[in-house]
Amino acid sequence: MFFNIVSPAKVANELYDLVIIGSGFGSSFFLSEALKHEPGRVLVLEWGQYNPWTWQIENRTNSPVSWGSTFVNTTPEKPWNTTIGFGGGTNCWFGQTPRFHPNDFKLKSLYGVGKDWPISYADLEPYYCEAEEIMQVAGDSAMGAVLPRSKPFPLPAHKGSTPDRIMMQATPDTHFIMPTARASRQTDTRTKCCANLTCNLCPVQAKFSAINGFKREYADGQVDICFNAEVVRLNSDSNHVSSLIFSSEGQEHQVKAESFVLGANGIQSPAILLRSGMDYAETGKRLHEQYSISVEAYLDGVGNFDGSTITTGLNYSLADGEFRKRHSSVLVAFENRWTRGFRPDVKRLTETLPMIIVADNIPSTDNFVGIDANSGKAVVTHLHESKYAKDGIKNALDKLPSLLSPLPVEKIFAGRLRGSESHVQGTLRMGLEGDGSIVDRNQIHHKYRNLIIVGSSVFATCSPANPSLTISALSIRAARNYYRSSREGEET
Amino acid sequence: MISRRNFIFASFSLAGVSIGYGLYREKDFLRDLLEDILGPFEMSDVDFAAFKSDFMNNPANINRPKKYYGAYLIWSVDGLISPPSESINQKYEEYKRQLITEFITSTMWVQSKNKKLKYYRFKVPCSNPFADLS
Repeated sequence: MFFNIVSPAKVANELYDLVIIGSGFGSSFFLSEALKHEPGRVLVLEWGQYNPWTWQIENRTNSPVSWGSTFVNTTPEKPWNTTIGFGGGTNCWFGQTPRFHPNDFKLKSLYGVGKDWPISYADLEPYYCEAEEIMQVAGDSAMGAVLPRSKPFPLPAHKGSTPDRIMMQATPDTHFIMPTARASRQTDTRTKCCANLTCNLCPVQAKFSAINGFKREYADGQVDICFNAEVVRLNSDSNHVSSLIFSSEGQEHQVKAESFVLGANGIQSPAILLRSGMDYAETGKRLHEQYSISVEAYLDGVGNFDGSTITTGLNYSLADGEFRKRHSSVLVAFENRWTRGFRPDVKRLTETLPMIIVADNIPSTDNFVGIDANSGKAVVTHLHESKYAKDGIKNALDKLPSLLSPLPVEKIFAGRLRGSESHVQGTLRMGLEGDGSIVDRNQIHHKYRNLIIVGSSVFATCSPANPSLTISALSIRAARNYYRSSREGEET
Repeated sequence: MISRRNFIFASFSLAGVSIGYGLYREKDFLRDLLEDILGPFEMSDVDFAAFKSDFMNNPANINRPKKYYGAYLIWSVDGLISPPSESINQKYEEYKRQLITEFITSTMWVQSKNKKLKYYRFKVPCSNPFADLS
């Protein structure tokens, strides 16, 4: 990978046109779009280092920095997973790319719970297509019935398992092949997924990542990148960020810019603002992610695991409806991997269907990111999951026999709660000024108008869907709108 | 009629003998158990020892194999006195599932027609032997 690596001393007191904090989904997709509009110099500050794919495979980890060392968790029974290093979450993710459901954006107006987003599914749809194109997402066009789309998926869908095929035949409106950024065929930059089932450390580079997907952008002559640069604070006046201070090897350095993009993760981004004295509205509040459970069904005479990737099916039977006034929606993922092993019967080894049931959640101010008064380190407190989500899982377990009725189910095993979906969301949410939100519909800070915030921290509410594609689409949209409004401002 | 004291003594003796037998069999019980479930196979002692070592010491499943082997011993002893409890049955089932899964995915068991197997270690790429990658 080719970078224009700059040392902290070299960028000290330099003036850039754009400084981007972090290099995960939010930051990298913003950069990819910004380079189409930004004529000036761009600096990317990354807390971690560049860990080449070969290094990650050899060392069986995405980063030498343990996520637990980057913040204090006052409620350790609830883990939060992040990756510190070039590419951030694009390294450790599994490549699941469902879009949000159109009604996920208007929960309050439709169902009287949570919040409405200040944008709609229709607003985001063209950007979903662009993000899918960049990631070369493989998907099933039939899914357009639930999640309307204006362009076909870039790659053909993966092969479903036998249980998926039975479900798709019986319930074609609600059961689909999982859309994924794990290639279903060879692309220019990635090999075909071969169902190795270790997606966080994909041994064949079938999964999209910043390392294999943004080589051109990070090698661009406009872009400097500084590794091992932990942003300490932003310096601002009443409505404008003028510079930032970052720390590297124990020394602090300042860099100035016209515009700033804050794309650390959902824990570190609010911590940076809080350390900067930029405690606006509900900064750091409403930390959340999905609530989920793993379940298994033994099947009678139907084998599983013959799909072509790790997760093959996604069921929308319980994804939306009036019930969302009372409890959460859920998505049911059909797994093409043996989370609990094969069946111990040589004639029935594969007659089992592991599933993951994922519920949306109602963000609460009881769950939040703060900072330690002395060290300034991020401090996470998560007091409870919402009853709304728990009731959604309970309902899903009650309905599961009916949902699975097309399959010859022999026995359903009690579920096991999953500790985390490794998503960190909602601490700098998007909304209307005065409603507690931090950024506007274009992800510009309500108060500091040259500060754009990217990543899942801006999510107004949860969705049961995986967040990475939505983060990416939002970032493309935010960059395009930022430069469009800048041009219009100059013209006027 | 056997006295309560003698009954307890006999039960403990039986349990002791069974545990001793179980420990004695530890050397071969993995192979026996695999053959019980999957049928006969051939593998060199060197390869099988490597598999066994990795299985018993897999850092991804720290203590689990040993815990489940404990469950196996209790299951075998418990079964001599009374039907095993649901909890013991479940742990033993999990143990067997973990064992055969790691064996199948590290030995080309599915692909090998004659079941003359080699041990390729865990987590080889493309480790789903049932996937349709056509």
